[in-house]
Amino acid sequence: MDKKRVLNQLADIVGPEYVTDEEFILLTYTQDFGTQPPVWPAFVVRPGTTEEVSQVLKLANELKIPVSPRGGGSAQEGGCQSDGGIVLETLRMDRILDIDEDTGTVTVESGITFVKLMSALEQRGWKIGIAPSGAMAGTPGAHIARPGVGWGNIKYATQGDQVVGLKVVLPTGDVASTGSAGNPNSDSFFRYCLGPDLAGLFIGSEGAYGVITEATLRMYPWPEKIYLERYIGSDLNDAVNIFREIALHNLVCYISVPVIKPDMILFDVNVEGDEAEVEHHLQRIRAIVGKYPGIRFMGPEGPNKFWERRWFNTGEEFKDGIAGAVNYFLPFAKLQEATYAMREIMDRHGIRKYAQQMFPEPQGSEHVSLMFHHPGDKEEYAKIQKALAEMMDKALVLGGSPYSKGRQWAPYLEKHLGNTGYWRTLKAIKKALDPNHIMNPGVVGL
Amino acid sequence: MLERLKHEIYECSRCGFCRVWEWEGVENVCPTYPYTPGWESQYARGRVRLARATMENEIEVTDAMLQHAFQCTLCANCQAHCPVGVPLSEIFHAWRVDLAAEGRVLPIHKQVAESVLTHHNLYGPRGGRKGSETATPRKASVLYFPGCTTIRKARKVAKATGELLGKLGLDFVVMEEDACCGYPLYETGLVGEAKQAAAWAIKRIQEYNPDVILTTCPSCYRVFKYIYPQELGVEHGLQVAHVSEFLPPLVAGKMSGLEAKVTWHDPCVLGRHLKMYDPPRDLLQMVPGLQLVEMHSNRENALCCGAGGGVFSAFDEIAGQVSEQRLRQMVETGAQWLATSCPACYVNLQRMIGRAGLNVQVKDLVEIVNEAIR
Repeated sequence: MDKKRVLNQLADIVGPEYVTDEEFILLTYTQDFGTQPPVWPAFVVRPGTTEEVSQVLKLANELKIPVSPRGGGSAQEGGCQSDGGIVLETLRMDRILDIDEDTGTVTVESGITFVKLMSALEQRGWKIGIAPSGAMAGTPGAHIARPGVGWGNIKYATQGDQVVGLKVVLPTGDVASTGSAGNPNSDSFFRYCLGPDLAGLFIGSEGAYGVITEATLRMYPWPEKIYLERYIGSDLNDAVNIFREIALHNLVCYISVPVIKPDMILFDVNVEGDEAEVEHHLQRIRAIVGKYPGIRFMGPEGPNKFWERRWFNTGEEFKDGIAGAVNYFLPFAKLQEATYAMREIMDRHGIRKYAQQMFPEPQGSEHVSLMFHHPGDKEEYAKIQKALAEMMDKALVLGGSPYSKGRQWAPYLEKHLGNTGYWRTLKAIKKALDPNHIMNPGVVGL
Repeated sequence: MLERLKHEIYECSRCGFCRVWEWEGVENVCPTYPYTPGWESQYARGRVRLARATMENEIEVTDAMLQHAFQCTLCANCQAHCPVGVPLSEIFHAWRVDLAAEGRVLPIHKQVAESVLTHHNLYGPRGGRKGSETATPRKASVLYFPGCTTIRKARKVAKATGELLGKLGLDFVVMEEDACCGYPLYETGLVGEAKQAAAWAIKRIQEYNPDVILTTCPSCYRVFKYIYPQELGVEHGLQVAHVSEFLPPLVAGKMSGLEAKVTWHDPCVLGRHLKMYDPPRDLLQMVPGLQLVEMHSNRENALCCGAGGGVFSAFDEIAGQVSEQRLRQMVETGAQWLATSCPACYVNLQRMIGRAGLNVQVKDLVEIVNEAIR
């Protein structure tokens, strides 16, 4: 590759100030919030429009240079960057394009941060369904590509479920709008129409199929009341039974289970709606919890205090160091077994400080293990990497479905799924959309 | 210097919360980032990584990297909002000290340092005006030390302070001669030069044999009170006071009404660095008739004016853009006056009023109090 020539060609597309191959800038793009080893790009570009993204991908496709899209670089599991290619950062594309109170949708460029979007909506009396814990730095494009869980998991499921339409740039540079916006005479107001659900291809694809440049999400009137209360107990089985029943009856916006220890489980419920609805749901939740005498009511103060500064507080979790993370979904029935299995692996590897958490979904739960360490502690880091490998493999054996895959899950996905029609289909689509294999090669095993 | 902060440098979790907010009154955590091309290296997360790279000799320090390092105003907004509590501003200052030790400073900052050591101010010789060589120190209870930016660029503040001290009947002297406290050199990492400037300044101050050094500049205040003894090894044993804490007992009950709506701009050094959020506000509220309103970014969340950390001298355009953003926040409040107590903020904000086409005034705290005491 003639690097100088490529740099000039990229500069012709995005402008010289928005492309770089300066070593010191590249260094700052070798890692994100994740704990994977550094990966050096050859260039970083910061396009400002879908058209510029398209031109960058056309060039990369022609020259067969790998391209890794990047939002806020704030994903806890990270791993979504390929070696030696172009990092395409979307943060300049940060506008709200339309708040449509007629269809109840908001259309944004994919590089806006969630907090900026949510603040703008809140001022107008609206909210989105799902926000990641890293909302301060995270972007919808990256979250949808993950496929986006967060606060709101039970009532609104995932960010993917909130997508009405996407605008995507394919690896060849072609631009496609999904859903109703596939009709050039229409905007994005309905997802499942015209033909197959193209948006679904990009949700969870982690950039392997293209770059999301715009997203239309559902939005909801800001609820009259948001109320949280906390419970604590010692029996994981009881707690999971409670989560299942609350989720099945759709009584909460979300349940957060930030602490699961052998002798303690702590969870918060977040209920939203009008006064009567919140009161009614609370009565039902309390009745469900009341069936389990070992679970104690801890009141609203703690979780409401957290909620007041929720976007900031999520970052405080990392005062104990950064965390190697394993996240995956499981049905309710398997949560207890998975908790014990992961704990056994972390204990066996002598991990000094870890946390287990759950964030229930309508049909099961996201199960999270975080292994904290000071970023300079190489010995602990090595232990964590070994444990992570075993845990990813074990999660798939248990029937778990990883939430964020990156490159780290690829060998285990290949091992357990490699002979399936699902895997062959993913590969076939990859080949059709990305014949030169330039889009985030290796991520999700593609 | 960085080596001492190694543990803290590694504590950065890389969450990225220091980039841009639009939440809880913080438009953007990093004041300059929105006015740069926006690379990772132009806000705190990337800068921490580069500080580490410097400490570990990981990469070559280029001129372009220096530019990114010095586009930081050291406003400490990122530090105040880091969920992990990384002492970011301290790290970025230590980074500059280490870079300077290797001779890696911006040419303009080197030039400024030479000016301070030669002419005892940031701005070169006085031209037609008389300089320090003509001043004759005399004993006074209060030595008002305006500092070089006030003397050269914000003379109205020095004049108002002199008038006010006179009205209050104090035994005082205004140090009219060129004298720089050395803080701008300290900020840009030139600690050796800052020590020389400090030694000169304190020697000169001691010739006045004051009971108290009074400042209207938070940087002079911080450097005299804390940085001289704690970091530069210059012990002076003198009492140091900033006007916001010095004036209240002296002016209580003596001020007449001023009918105006005013908002307080927290200078970063006075606010986030020294936590003096209340004294200036309390003083403004002592003025009868004055209505104090807050900008949505205030106190710990306050947006920097854009001038700090050597940005004013090296990146004039960025400093102006940040200042204009701060003025827009002021306009939202409906205030006629923006009050502050820092000559750099005063000058940087005032110069942008015209360019932004605004019909508002920037006033120093002392100007307001002086106006209220007739």
